[in-house]
Amino acid sequence: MSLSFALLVSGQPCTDQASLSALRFCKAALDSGHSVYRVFFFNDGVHCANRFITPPQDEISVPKQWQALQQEFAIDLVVCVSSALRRGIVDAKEAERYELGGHNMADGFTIGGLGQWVDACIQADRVVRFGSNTQ
Amino acid sequence: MKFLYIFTRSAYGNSIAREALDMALASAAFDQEVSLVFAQEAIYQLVMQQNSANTEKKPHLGVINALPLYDIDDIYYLAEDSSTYNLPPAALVPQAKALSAEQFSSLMSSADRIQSF
Amino acid sequence: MSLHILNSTSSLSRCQFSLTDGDAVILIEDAVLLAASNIEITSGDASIYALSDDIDRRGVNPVGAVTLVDYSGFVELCAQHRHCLSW
Repeated sequence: MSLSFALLVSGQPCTDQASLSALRFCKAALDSGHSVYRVFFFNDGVHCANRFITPPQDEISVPKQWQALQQEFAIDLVVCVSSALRRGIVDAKEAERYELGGHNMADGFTIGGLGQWVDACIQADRVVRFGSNTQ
Repeated sequence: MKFLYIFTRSAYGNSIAREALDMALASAAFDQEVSLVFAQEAIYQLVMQQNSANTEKKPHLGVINALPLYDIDDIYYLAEDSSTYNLPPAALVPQAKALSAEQFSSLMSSADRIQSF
Repeated sequence: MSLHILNSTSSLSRCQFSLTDGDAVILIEDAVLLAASNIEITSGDASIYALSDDIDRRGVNPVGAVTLVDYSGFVELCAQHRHCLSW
């Protein structure tokens, strides 16, 4: 039976394993024939959308891994606007609105409100969160 | 849909407590039936005597007291935690109600979506 | 029926109050360290799983009744349980 998943990512690259666990889970769900309705990046998870993340040369950047997954499966990657702004993750529109002089949101991610997570919880069959180990 | 949020962290020392509460508020704003359980250390979010005059963030108690304005009336803590943390009902906001273990179990069974933070 | 996803060694004590009979627990990330000693579930009677990737990565030797699953097994556990709660 194919189910749809709504994934919440609330942990961040480098600091904890949440984003990596979420990536692997997401890929496994898709490979198993399930669908991913939306991945919502919330709280510290918004850092997954930071295009300036530059890991050591022998590691793959988490934002790039999400982008690759988004390109291959056309999944909806939404970054929570309120979590993002307070952490300095901004797209071009928010950067202009707040006159920040630059933006850092990686392509493939879109900014959105908590309503999109509520919608995902309603529409999807399963809701799973990947958070930091101190949350 | 019936959304149940289970909180386990106190406010101020982390960002998840406040942001998860915002998520619950958003669920109510989008017309979902929301119940909140403040379990374990989260019972401290319900303490009436929170003095946040000197904090640079918005006082947490303000959000707790605004919950009924968002039609969130099902605000609970666990009777066991009230005892463990030595916080009698009189120390907690009046809009919060105690749940026995059985009542909590029943609340979980009747929820359509449960999220824990 | 709920699947409880534990990701740290302090997750188990934090979630005990919400465990009921028929629930399942999966240890991922640092929580797999709990599998190195006998896990005590004090509330209800839950089946215990651990993510093999995280077990192998950390060199943990699981003891007791812990079933190892890979990521597709993890997905399957989520599919089988109505609620997936992370602690």
